[in-house]
Amino acid sequence: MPLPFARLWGGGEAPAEPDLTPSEPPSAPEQPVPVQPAPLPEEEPRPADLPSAAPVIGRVAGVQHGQLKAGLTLRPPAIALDGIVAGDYQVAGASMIGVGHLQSGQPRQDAYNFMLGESGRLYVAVADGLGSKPYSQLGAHLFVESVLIAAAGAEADEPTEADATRLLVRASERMEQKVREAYGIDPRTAGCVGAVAVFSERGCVVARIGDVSAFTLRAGVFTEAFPAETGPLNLVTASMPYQAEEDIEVAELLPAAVVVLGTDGLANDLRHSGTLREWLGGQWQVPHLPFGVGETLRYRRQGSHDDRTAVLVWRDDVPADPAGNDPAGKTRDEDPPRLR
Amino acid sequence: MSSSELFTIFPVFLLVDVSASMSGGPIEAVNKALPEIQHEMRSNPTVGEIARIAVVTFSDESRVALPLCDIAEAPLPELLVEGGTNFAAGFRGARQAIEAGMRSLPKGTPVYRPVVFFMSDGAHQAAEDWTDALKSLRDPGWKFAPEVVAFGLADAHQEELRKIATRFAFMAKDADPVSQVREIMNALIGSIRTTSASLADPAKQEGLYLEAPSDHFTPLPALTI
Repeated sequence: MPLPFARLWGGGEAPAEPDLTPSEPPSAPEQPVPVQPAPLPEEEPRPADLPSAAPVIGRVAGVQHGQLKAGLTLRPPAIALDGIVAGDYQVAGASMIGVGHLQSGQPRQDAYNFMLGESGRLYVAVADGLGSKPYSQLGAHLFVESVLIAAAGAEADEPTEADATRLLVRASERMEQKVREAYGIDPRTAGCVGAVAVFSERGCVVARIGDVSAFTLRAGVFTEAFPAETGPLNLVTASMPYQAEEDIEVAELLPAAVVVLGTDGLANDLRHSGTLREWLGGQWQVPHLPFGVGETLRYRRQGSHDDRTAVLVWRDDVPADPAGNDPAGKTRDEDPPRLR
Repeated sequence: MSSSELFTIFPVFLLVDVSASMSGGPIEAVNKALPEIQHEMRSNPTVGEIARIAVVTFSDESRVALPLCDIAEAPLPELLVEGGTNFAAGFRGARQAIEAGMRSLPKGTPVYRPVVFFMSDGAHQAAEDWTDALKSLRDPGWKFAPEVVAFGLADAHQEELRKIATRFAFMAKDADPVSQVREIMNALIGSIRTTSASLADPAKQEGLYLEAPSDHFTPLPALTI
């Protein structure tokens, strides 16, 4: 019976079968005696993945292969990655499906996108579909797309100004219209929360509906731009479309070396995990390439099962903050940061 | 932001009738279900990461048989039957157990809305009115106000179950009370499993997901109290 060399050698052409007959004469130089390999254990084949240096925090379930729910049509890819130079900014983005969605066969419901305007302003949009709504992934996708379309319009109409709140409202309206007219479904079934950030030389203005949040990172320390919501996690306070004007929150950030926009899957972990803040605070001090930023969101944390999305914006020409700290937490004498 | 690790919690409170009418098979079925819940927490690590369970009993009075805990690691109580049926005592006990359980969590712990699974085989018998205690348990101004799911069996009153539940009430169909308890506990385990996964799965984040198969249960529309 032939030996299972093809399996031992990982496929491909198997080497010649060895001659197991004892060699003669006995005085010949000793050769390694071929040993018939033991039968391979009947193990379930495991999907391959890359190792990760991201931390494992608390008691967590093993990594599992996700499922795909039958009949799911409006499905974005489970992961989106970016790492690019955009004018005066370096931008990296990652959006990754959560364990909960992987297990249930649901799609990733987070979305992000960004655009560099002719004015030099950078526009960033982040959205998180409401889990209870069957087409929320569509709403989130259309919202971030609509923000950029609205921003392009604002660049043409008002080249010197861009109002994050107005962009958010316009994007919500377009999202509602597209869901209703192009897809023929009730816009309420595509509800989402979201944020719009407009970066300029004066800093960054973030307008949001719901719990998408923004952080600055200085000297390895995260500072949240919005007050963290209290109360049960599963009660959403405001969403789009049809948002109330008073539910729009705005935060104005001074120029910072690193600004992070994130959905609650990331923001909740940042708020509640010192280990994660320390790790990401170190990782994100320098600009990242696509796979680098994706790696940083591969941490595993007990009870953290939601989709995670982060858009990071770095800029070099940031003055020191009023406390005298270098905004990026690095000294001017250091070598320029290298991309991860 | 917290300097320590605060993990997300889904608090589940079982509010179990241990009046005399539950003696014999029904209480044995409840006691048999507790290790099954424990097994579920151990065998489904994703659920076990966030679900925390407490067991509160009621008869003439209420008792905390198991404070809010990680049931995968906890020694299990054996529930014993007592006397009459006083819903008011049960609701007061549930509120106290929720308050104590939630306050026992590290400050700032992110939590999902607590859920109370109420189970009874009969009608309220005590002289005192029970609706005030229920209103206190469900008080929307209370920061820990739970979702209440009501399961009835045997001689439970459908109208009472409908008033007790915030959204979901069920009456068991099986003729044998032991089978009824078994099905209720199966539904309860299924609901913990699915709801935990659903909370983990933001696709169902706004609500409790219930597995109460219609061949064993009659769904009852909730009534406003």
